[in-house]
Amino acid sequence: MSKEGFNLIIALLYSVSIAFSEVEIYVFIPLIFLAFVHKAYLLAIFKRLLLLNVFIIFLVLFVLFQDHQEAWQLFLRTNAILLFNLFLFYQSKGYDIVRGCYALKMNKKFVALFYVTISLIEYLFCELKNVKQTMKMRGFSATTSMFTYQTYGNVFALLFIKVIRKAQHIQESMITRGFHGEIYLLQAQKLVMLDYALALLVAMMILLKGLAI
Amino acid sequence: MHIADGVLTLEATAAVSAVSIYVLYKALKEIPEEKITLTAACSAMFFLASFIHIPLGVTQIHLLLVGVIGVLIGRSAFLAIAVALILQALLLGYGGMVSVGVNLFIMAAPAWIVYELYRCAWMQNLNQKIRFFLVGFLGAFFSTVLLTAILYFSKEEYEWAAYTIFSVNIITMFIEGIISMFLLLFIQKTYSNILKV
Repeated sequence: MSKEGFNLIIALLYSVSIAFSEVEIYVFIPLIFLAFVHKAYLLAIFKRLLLLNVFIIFLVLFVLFQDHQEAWQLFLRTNAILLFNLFLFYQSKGYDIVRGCYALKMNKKFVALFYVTISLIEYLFCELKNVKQTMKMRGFSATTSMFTYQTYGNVFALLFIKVIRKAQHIQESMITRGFHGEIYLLQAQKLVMLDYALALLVAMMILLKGLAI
Repeated sequence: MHIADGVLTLEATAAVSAVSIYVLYKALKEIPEEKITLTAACSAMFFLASFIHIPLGVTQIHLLLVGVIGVLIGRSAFLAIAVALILQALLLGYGGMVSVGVNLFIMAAPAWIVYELYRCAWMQNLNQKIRFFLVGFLGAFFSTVLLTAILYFSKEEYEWAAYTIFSVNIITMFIEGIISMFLLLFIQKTYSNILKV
């Protein structure tokens, strides 16, 4: 199995095993391992986790008034899953996820759609940067007004038109290259010792959870 | 609008995800090869929308664009939004892999509903500005209704959170409607052939 496919499976296994049950101490063992492996990005990952907690804390506060234990469990559960995925995919640009889908032999059209989407996202980010610079140069400042909403409406429309035209160009070039609903991707990365260790820890965690039930 | 992993019960997640997966499978089976790139374009726009912050008083919101996506690609919105949600879950941490089916239902079902409503004769007879406003407004409205309903029926503890989410999102629905109206008017003027439903 490729590393990309492995990451998708391990993320799904970890998420499923925690999402619907009580959080026990051994749930954090794979997280500690991943924190050690990704120690260089630890601060940035925790900063992102903090930002992602806005909606979670909102829900936790509502539950807190009714059931302390459930609120605490909800907070731990969501954060453990978020942190695990952040560790695994922090450096990802998206193409590895497509390769993962390809390695897992997902539907060919789905993989092709995935691949084109990522290339269009890259294109859109460049276009958005240009649009933002242009707006700044023209002295636009966003306020709560109809003019601002009209400007944003026009910006979104412009981006839509640009991305659809770009998509048409991609389609033409794909047809020229003989596209028949399938995209062939380059060789994927191989698994290393750290991946096997992570798989072992997650398997142990699932086993312990099973024994606890 | 994204529900994180670990929030919902197994029953709610399984039931809603089953519906999403079924529609996703049908959409995948039916999509012609030449429509893949347009669907990818909508998927990329859905992904990007979460990065554009719209001012609203002292706070900021971001658009969903589900109504506009629905009008452009119909049931293929399930495919476009599924890809964007998987990327958002893994790259940004919005939602999660387990709840991706639920989030897909919350955001793609409204896109499909708006598409079907947009094709109705009564909608086509409406004033153009009102029609375009409704595309955005109804997309956000149905998404909020579904999110609220899923939270409400999932756990008793989420009842008040569900009411609050619905109340807070009423203003968002109007802003989504207004921006969608300007967006579609611009497209109608400059690139009208993609709006033919």
